[in-house]
Amino acid sequence: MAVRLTPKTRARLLRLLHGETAASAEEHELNAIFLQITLAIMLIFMITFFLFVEKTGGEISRLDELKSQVEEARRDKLANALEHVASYYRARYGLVFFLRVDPETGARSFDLSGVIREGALGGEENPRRSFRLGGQNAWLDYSAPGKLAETWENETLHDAGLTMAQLSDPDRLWLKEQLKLRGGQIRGEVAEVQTLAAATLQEHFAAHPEAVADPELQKLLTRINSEKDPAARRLLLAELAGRLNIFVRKELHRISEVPMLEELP
Amino acid sequence: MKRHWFLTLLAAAALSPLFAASVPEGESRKLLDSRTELLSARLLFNEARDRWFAAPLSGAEELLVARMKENAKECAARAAAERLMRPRYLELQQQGFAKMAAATLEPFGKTIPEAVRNAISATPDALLAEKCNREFPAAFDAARKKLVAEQRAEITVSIYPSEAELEQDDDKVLAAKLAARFAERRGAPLWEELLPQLQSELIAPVLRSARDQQQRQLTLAGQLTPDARLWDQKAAAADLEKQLNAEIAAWKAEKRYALFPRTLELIQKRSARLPQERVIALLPKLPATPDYATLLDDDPEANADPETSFRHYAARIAETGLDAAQKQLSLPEAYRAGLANDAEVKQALERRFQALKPELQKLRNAFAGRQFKKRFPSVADRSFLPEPDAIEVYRRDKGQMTFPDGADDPELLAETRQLLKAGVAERYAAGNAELSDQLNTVEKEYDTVVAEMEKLNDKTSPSWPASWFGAKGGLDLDTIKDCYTERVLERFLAGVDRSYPDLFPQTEEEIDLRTRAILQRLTNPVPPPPKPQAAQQKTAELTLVYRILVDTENDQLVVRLRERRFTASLNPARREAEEKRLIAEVAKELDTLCRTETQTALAPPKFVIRIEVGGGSVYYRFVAELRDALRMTLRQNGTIVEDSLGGNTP
Repeated sequence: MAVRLTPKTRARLLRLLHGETAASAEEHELNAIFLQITLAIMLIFMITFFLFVEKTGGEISRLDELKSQVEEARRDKLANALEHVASYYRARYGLVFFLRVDPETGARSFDLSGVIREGALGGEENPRRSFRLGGQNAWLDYSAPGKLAETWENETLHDAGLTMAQLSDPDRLWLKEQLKLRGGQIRGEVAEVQTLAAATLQEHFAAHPEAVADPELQKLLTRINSEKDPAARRLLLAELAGRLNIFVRKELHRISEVPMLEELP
Repeated sequence: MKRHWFLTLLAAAALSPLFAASVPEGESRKLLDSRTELLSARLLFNEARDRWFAAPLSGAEELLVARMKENAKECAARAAAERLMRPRYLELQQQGFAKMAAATLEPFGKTIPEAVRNAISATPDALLAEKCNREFPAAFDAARKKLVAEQRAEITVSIYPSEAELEQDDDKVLAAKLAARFAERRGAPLWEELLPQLQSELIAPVLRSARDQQQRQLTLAGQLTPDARLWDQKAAAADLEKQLNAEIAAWKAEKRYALFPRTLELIQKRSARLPQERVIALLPKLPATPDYATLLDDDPEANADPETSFRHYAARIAETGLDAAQKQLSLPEAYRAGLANDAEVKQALERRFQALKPELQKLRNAFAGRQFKKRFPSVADRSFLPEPDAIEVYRRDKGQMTFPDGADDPELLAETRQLLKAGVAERYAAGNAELSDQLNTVEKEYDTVVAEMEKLNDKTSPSWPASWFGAKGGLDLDTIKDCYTERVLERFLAGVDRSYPDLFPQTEEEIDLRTRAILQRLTNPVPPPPKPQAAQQKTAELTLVYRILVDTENDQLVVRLRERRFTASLNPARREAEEKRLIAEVAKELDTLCRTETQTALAPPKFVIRIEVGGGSVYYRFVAELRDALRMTLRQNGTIVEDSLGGNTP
């Protein structure tokens, strides 16, 4: 924006800068002088800024490094604590008795030998007790998932010797996710054991189909055998499989007095 | 059996890679699914197996028949056939079982190993043998019966009478012919002892079946309907024959007869009269046009006479009905001529009209009711009052009635006229009853006056009659008449709402006459006779009139005698008994009245019994019986009976 100076003002400025009184000096000459002054001031500030940064940057990076080392140590503590708590719950749910880990490959498997025999809970004390008490404990705990998560959290923090207030926001988030993951994992293991028991019991029913005396199932069987359309027959067979799975879980519940985790929402 | 299944499962377990002491993590679901699949297969197979064993082997009978025919020589003897066929039956069962098992386990072909499936569906020989023992005798027996029946039919087919013979000859002739054919077939005469057996076991069933088919053919030929698009006689006949032959083909008989000549004749007849038949069948379903109610509204004069109206209407609906039927049937023009003159079509139209007639009469009655109410509201609401003079004329001659204006209007339906006539007659009868009441009142009042006069006859004061009649001065005719009239009216109107509150001319005349008699008595008093004579004089003049009014009211026969009212039901079922009871009651009452009066009177009084019949429908028979009963009662009472109709009777 061009500002037109009054002749009087221009004269004053020229006098101040050049000591001249030349009334004929041009306006652009004045602008050039202002620009030079501005650049000089900026240069001074930049030099000062770079000198400051060079001095303080090293100290900051050292602080960050220390901080991350502290966080890592805290995570390790929490992870260890989580592992301890998970082991406790595995024992509480009787999983330790059935779980086998291959020492070479680390592959995990479950062995339910002796739990179900001839369509009833087996006579051996240990597997029977582990299956029944573990299943009942699991049902009890997973019936109140909110309370279980809170217990897990408290036990983990206690084991790690930490409080929630000492954790940073990312640590808290990490811990919540880990708790959820571990809790789900152990629930899956319990369900796996129970499904395996159901499969063993189903095997017994396959050997003794006369034990499956359900009038509704009988009706469905008659319907399937009377159905001529293959597509409709396939649908009915799927329905039969679903009903038999429900049936075997109910039977397992009945004979073991253990409510199935699959029944929980 | 159980051991067998156990082995089967062991086999299944051995074949499964998942069947191990330790199951890898994540494999439990698969293991459960495979076990569930195995259980599904077993359950389904068991269900199918049980049903298969419970049901008899299908098609076994036909197969046994076929096998025995193939080995006719070896199977001629029943025992030999049974020995030969039993293994065959078992073989058939094994095949059937295998087929059933394959079909049931087919959906598990990919999920259950073949060895396991084979183990599941292994043939249970013991059960099959048991099933064979259970079912074979019945199946074999049925198959044998079928074979024997077939052979019997083959043997007898040549002796069956032909269609023409069946129509031509009666059963007796046919039986003789068939017996002769048997003998001819055998080549030697039949032994006489065999003939009754032959007759009852072979010939009679053959004839019965033939006659039955003959009748069924005729029935069907009369019932079947040819294609609605066909009108041509030949085409329709062909269609009917085709339909009939199709029906016959489904009949179960050793010999199915072809169409009999009479059946063909009936088919031809029906085909020739197809247009008429279809029109006749359709006519009852068509609505009658024009609407009769509209016709009545539009032109009541033309429909005043029911007979004429119905005749015209029948002709009109016949015409419109035929037109509508022809249109609805899309009857070709060639078949329309002569349809209206066909006797059967005419009969059908007449039947249609007769079916409608009750409804038409209801419409007429409804219309007449409306017309009656509209044209003669006073008669309809019973406010119509004939003139007193007219009532008196009617009293003398029941046929004399004056009808309201408009009674001769030609627009009045005959039913309206009947309603009018009945309504007017009812009003006349009511008026006549009131006139009777007035006359009775005059008579009763006269008796009262005379009795009072007799009582006061001994009084010495000459002014008592005047004061009794309420006369201020001398006693004259007008004073007595006024007093008499006033007393009559007072008694007549007491407690009753009268249609005729004033006196009828006849009543006035009667009052006038009786007034004169009273005045004459007063002015010329009879000197008191000696006591015994006085009694004789009094009794000689004592005449008691009893009116017995017979009428009907609200479906009841009503008889009034003085203040008593006797009723009897008009219900046809009880009418006769009720009438007898009623007559007995009236006779008893009259007898009591007469006895009472006779005992109180010094000399036997004279009784006048008048039987009057009201406007209701009263049988003359009842009146005659009543009259006879009263006569008998009075005669038994020792009364001398004088019957104005029947002559004098002591």
